[in-house]
Amino acid sequence: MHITRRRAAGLGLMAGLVAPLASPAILRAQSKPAKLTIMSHAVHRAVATGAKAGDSTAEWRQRQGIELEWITFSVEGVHERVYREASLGEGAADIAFILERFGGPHIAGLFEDLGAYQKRDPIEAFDEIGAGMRAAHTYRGKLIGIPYRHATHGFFFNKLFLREAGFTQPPTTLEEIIAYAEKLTFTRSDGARVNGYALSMDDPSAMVDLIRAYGGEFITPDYKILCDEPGSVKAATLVRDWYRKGVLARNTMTFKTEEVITAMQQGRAAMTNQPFGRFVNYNDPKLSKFPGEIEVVNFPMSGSTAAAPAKTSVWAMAIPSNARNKELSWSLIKELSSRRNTIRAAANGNGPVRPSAYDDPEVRKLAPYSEAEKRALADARLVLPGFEHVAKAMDIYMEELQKAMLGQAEPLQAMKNVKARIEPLLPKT
Amino acid sequence: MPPSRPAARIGRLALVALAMLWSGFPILLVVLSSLKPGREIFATPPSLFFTPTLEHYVRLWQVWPDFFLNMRNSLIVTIGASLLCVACSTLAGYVYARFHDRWLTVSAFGMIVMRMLPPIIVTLPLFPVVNALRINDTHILLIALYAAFFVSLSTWIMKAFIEKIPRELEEAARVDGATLPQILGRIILPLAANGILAAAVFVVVFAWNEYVFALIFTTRAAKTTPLVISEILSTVEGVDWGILFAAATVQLAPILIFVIAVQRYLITGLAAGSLKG
Amino acid sequence: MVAPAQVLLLAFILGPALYVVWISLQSWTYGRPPRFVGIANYAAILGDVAFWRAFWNTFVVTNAVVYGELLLGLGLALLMAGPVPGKRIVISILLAPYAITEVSAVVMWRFMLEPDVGMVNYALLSLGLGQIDWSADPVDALFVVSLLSIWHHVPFTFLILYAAVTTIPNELVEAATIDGASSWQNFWYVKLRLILPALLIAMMFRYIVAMRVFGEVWLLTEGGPARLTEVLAVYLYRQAFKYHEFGAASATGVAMLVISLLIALPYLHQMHRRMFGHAAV
Repeated sequence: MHITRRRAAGLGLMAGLVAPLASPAILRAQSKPAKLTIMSHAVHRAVATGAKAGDSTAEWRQRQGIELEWITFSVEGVHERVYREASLGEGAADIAFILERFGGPHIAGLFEDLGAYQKRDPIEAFDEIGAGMRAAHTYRGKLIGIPYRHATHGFFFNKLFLREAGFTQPPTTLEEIIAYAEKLTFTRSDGARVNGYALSMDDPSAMVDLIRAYGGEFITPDYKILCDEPGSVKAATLVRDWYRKGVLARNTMTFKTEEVITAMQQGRAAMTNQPFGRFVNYNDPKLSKFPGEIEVVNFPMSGSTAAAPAKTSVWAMAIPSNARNKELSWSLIKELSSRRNTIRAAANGNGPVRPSAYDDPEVRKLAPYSEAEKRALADARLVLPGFEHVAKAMDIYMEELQKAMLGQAEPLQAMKNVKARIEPLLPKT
Repeated sequence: MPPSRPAARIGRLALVALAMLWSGFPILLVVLSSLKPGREIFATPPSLFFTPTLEHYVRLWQVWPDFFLNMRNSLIVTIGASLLCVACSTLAGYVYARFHDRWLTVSAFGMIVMRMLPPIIVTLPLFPVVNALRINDTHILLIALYAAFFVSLSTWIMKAFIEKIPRELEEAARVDGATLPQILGRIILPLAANGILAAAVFVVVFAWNEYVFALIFTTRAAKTTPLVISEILSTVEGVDWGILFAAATVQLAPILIFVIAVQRYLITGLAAGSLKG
Repeated sequence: MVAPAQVLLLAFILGPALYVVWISLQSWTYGRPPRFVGIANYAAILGDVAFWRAFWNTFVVTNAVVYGELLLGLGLALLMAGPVPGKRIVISILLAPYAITEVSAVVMWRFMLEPDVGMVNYALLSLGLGQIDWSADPVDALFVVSLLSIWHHVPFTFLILYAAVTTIPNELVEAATIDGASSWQNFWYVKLRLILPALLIAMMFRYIVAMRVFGEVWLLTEGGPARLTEVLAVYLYRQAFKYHEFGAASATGVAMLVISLLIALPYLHQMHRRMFGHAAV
């Protein structure tokens, strides 16, 4: 065959053009997926990609050319799903958002040790992220989640309802809340029924505020269970009485956090204790019937106007050990944890894991409760310490509490049952 | 037949009307409500007359864009499971109909026993296995599961129908030199067509409507319609009933039409699969 | 040639069932290999108040559903066996609930029974009869679950009984009438006797399937409040996927299987006799 110089040049040119296209393309096909899957609660997607202060993921997505798929569940549902996925040979979740109270040493093995990733490819100003929050997701020295959100409780009330019921001042102590709650269980002029208080009942996270306001505790960080002591019993009795008097809605026992949100937005409840960030949801004119009327302050103690130790929870981003694109997952986690994006998310209603975010003017403007939240965070306590049987323990508490509400047991007896049933499940320290 | 007195006839008709109301009202309610403007869905007292709107269907498309993708999954799984189930059960039914020996009887009896197993209990052990095989969240898994749980009933139905086909036809064909596949294809299949349809009906309805396995074994890629509807039912921001009704209507329309069209086969299938045998 | 069918059954039913029995003898959760504990899981669930509550709830709902359906199904079958105009259309409508998924059935009934505003509850309230308080009262909740289930499965029972009733030879009924039997006697002594086998089989199948109830309860109350409306399938689900106690969940599964087999025992016994009587041929 006769290869002319021109033909050879032509071939060489083609080869030169094609080759660089081919090899990176092959590499790209092997290393880059079309999308990353995130399993979380809807609130994470909302604050991470929110419209108000911007989408924290936009730049990353453009840079990487990868789409994000958010699969959202209820608080309990996300853990159910995530653990199931993480226990498999290969999982569908690239990043999982988990709550500290659903964790425990037994699930730590399902996730990557992010300490190693942090050493290799550090997150900006990592030490700024609250030490307590990081500790909440560390088991036996292994950090399995980078904190993304703290959900610290404040006390919400509907100013319009207060006015309609004849109050000129918001309640400042727990006793006042109790007095107000009965008056705020009323029928408005348009015939709508309002319940004085809304409480989420899928786990004890709302109850612990009441327990601690009475000076009690559920389970201490060193695993002592104190639920049969006066503070806790008073809280159970209060809820039982409220239920009997109609202050709590009749179907309260099926209320998850979602139902509480709806109740406040639709004006079916006047007061509640929920994460500060819900302020954004409750005053959103698109979803709430009372935009601008829902106010939030620190939850008060019984017998004083001091702030009670608020409940806090820490959501963290974890990488399941069986995830397929761990480096990319870490890259996104890094992005979401940057100072800039922490501020963005906070302005969207997130509880920021960097205290410095509270000083940002944009945050203070879009999240006017920042000062109160910062105060609450200083003294805040987790719902309960993590351990293997934590899910069962929480269920036992809610079960017995609900029995007391239904009148099947006296609150003291119910709390004694709780202690008797949970004690054997606690780790021996 | 005793002559029907007018009172008895009216009574009978009234009962029939009541029965139809009981059966059909909830379905009609949801279908009609899917066309009601959002505000009027929970208007008290409930309004009978309203201006129909397609807004919920449009919003279903907007808010749950994957819904129609999930319907496609349901379709794939339904067709796949029916084909697999019917294929296996026709083969097995033929054998049980035509041959008798001790081991066959044992295996047939085993099939009946296995029908008694509650499906939910296999979810736990299957989980690790399914993952080792990388078939989690795939159509194949659901197809195999659905087929497995109905192959017993289907085999019984096929056996009953094939038994009715005269053996002489097959023997004549064999004398003419036909092979087994040819016999199956040319003689059995056409004559047992009614049985095949009867056997298929149950799997089709089951697969299209199944919830528990879809809940546990699918996340995203193979998610089926009932699962999506349950998610719409438990949404975070409060239930959007309009979209929920639209979704339910879309899901039930095809299968309802199907069931009504093949009701004759349902009856014969049930008779063959449970009463005889 | 029976191989394909058998492979499906072995791989997806028998195999896993045996594996479940094995797991039920282990203590197993995430992050730990299984550890043999013998019958400890069985002791644990049999000593668990929640298990017995689930058992009792399942028992009550199953019975309510089965007898409800039998009565309704039989009534419908007898009704439809007589002269009815537009029979095919009527049967189509009677069959409709069968085509609905349990998820949508929950949607429909919840809509009608939504607290305060659902049309049934609204009507009851305006008549001064209170409400069906399924979201707060466990008895009401189980009532709704039963009602829903009956609505959903009556077509199945109706079809079996209808098939049986329509095969009753007219001559027998006529002969009895000529002998002076009233409608009631006709029904009780003639028709019922003839359809009794079908009735019993329908009852058995419905028992076995009804005790597996999961979706209706899960979607309505998730077993709450205070786990008071849990049924066995929900108890199993919770043990497995919320508490991550695979051993206890498997023990529950085995318990459900044993109950199913016990219910089916008479049928299986009869089948066994019939089938193995042939084998000698």
